[in-house]
Amino acid sequence: MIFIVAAFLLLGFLVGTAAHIPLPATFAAAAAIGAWLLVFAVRERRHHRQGS
Amino acid sequence: MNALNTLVRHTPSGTRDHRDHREEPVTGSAEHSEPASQTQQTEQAQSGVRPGITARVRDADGMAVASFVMGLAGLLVFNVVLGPCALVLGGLALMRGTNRRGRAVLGLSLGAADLIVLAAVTAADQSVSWSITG
Repeated sequence: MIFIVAAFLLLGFLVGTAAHIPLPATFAAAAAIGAWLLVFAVRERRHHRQGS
Repeated sequence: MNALNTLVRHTPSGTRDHRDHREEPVTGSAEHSEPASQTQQTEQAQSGVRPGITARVRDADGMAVASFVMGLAGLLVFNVVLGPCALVLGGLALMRGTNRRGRAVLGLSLGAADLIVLAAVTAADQSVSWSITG
């Protein structure tokens, strides 16, 4: 039992910020980060197509 | 060893055999890394005009992009893993003279921000692990 609790706490440490902030804030941040990554990927792809 | 090399130079199999024999006592990881870099270098030599430099800079560009992506994702999850990865990759990309300096600096600062955000949130919660109870 204590092993499971320790593993759970270690998982919380590993997950980091998402384990500390409330769930709606996590979703909002995930949406923002995902949008930025998506925009970056689209621009990168367009740039590569133009370049080659 | 030099004298032996000049003696058997006209037979490349002889030198290769000699080199292999010299490398045998080396540990597995080092022995693995050396032929990989050798094949990469010959590949570069076949493909490009100025092979070493172009491929190296392209590697550095990839490192800059990887540093940015890791730093951005590390803001929310896996701060302890992705933050240092972004820091190391960004610094490595800058050290190797990448063409995308802005992306590398952004990845570097995002990697630092990962660790700062985690420290701030941990200090605010007074706990190292979960605190979604309230």
